[in-house]
Amino acid sequence: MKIKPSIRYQLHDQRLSFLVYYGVMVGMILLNLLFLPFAGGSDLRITSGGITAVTSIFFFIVGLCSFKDPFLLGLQHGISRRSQFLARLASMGIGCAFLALADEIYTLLVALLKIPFPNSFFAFSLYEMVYGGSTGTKLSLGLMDEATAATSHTALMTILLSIVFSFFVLLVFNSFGYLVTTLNYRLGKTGKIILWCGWPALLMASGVLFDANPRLESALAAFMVNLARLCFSTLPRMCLTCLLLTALFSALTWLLMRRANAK
Amino acid sequence: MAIKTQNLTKRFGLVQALQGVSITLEEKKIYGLLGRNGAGKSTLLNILTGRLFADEGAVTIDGENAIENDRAQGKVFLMSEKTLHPDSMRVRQAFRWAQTFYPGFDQGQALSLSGDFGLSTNARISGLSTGYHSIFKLVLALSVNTPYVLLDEPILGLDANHRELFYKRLLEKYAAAPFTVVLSTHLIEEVASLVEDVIIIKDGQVLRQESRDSLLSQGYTVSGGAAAVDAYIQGRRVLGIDALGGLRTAYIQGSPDKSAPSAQDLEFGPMDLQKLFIQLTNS
Amino acid sequence: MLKVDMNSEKPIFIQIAEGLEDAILSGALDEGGQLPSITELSVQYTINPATALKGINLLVDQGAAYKKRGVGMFVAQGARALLQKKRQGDFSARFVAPMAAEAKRLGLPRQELMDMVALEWDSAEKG
Repeated sequence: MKIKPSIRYQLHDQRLSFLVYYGVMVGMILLNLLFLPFAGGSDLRITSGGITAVTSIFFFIVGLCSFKDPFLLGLQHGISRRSQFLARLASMGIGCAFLALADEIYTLLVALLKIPFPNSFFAFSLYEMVYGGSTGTKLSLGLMDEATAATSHTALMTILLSIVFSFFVLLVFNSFGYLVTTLNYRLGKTGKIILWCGWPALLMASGVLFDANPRLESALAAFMVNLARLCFSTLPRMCLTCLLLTALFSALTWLLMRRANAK
Repeated sequence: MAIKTQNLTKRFGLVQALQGVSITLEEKKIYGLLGRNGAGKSTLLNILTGRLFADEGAVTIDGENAIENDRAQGKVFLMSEKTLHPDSMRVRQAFRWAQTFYPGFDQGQALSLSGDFGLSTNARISGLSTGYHSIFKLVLALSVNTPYVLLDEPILGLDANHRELFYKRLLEKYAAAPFTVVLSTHLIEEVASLVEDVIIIKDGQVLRQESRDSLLSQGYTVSGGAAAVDAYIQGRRVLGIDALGGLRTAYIQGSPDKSAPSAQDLEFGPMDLQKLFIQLTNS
Repeated sequence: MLKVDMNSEKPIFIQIAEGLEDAILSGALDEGGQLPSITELSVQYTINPATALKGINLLVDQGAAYKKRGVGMFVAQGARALLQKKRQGDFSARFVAPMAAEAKRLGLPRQELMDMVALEWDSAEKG
């Protein structure tokens, strides 16, 4: 088994994008600090809320770019698809853990800026925004049963739960991006066209369908709200949902990957 | 100890790329895998190294199933025509990663070979010319120290000096510690003197697999006036005939029969690999 | 010293053997001296080591060379005389027969051919 070298390569492959991403994020804060004196002092409010939402999109895109290069390099060096896939799971987990941690550190650093600039900086993790944390300002999403319970957590607990929350959210986004790019790799030209034109077409068609049947639309909306409540209403439920989705995406990825040829 | 394939079959759409290919690559031998463009050489090598899946058939390396097997594949290195390295990777990074994946890879050797060939280790792989692209892959193959090294069209785009240098470095390495080398090429003359065994494939099927010398000893050429040659070749297994004015050269399987009535007007010569190859693979 | 012609009709291992014989006959390789190693021959002429070995083995079979285990191949004592004798034996078949055949094809009279041979002999003797 050559899983370890594969993990090393896959992590190396992501490293640069991580650096660039946090470079940009920190750069934006620094830019804000630079312009703070000119912005009329205390009137300016800079809120860093839920960086993980942005990180999720970022990590989805990283997932989109994570298949071809490592896969072909692995084949060049005689690494089986099985080992590559297992290494992929490991490096995805490591990447998510790293980003979840980094997001929380980033949030805490921005929160620290509140000390010198009490009126200008506010920072909340995505977890705090969704479920409400010790520091308040929960979003009234209306379906979070545990929101009040979460408010009672200690600061340390909030930090820990934020990291756990981010980790699972990132897993879903990254594994989905990876699934999409693997599917894209396996598809021929016709398949690609069907895939990339099919989605918009399907959305348009369903829009027309809903316009014609308002009752269907409201039933579907109600179903979605119920489903979301079932899956996301508490942190453990959300984690389980994310884990199941990740497992589903990864299982599909493996089915696509196990017979993939070098191109 | 050998790489063995059994009845490999591969089809790309309507094209039958390989059909019932069974070959053996023994340890510590230099092979010529010869075939015209599109004969199936690359497909065969790609299947051996797990880059493509065969539709049917089996591959073993040293007795072990080779498909999706890291340990077995750790003994093989394939330099394919197309490089599988990311475009943005630099040459020296590729060396480092090769060492990560193949513990026997000798970075010192790779750097010194790069120096010999004038390959800049700072260059990006995608920025290399065709010739230096080949050189990059040859340097990898000559530094990787696996028991089986497969080279697909190794001299593509190399000038005469670099070709010569490559052959010398290859033979030095082989002499120091013999390993299996497969030179897959359609340029027969280039490798004819280098190889010990020959595998000839045509339209996805193996025509011949044997030692170069025994292959060549099975045939001969006979040349002379058209009438004499025509008389001589009656009833013999003729692989092909070249005609130049009234002169003919026939390529014949078997051993020369110098006592034949028409023989005194004819000249007999040994078969050469290039000519035999052309005659065998002409369609 | 030695040349290998890939396009020659002669098999490479025979060319290697003959080249080494020539070197022994001319004194370029001394009796008791070491022959080039298989590796040297193989790299120098870019030929398969098995081919080089086959060439050297031709010398060994004739008794013109021998192997010292772990050291290499050496020119046997008396190899020069041995090879001279062999080449003398081959001489007619290798040189005189084709010459006579060609002379005949060109319609050169027998005596003229003899005179030519005598003339060349004399100039070779003068150096």
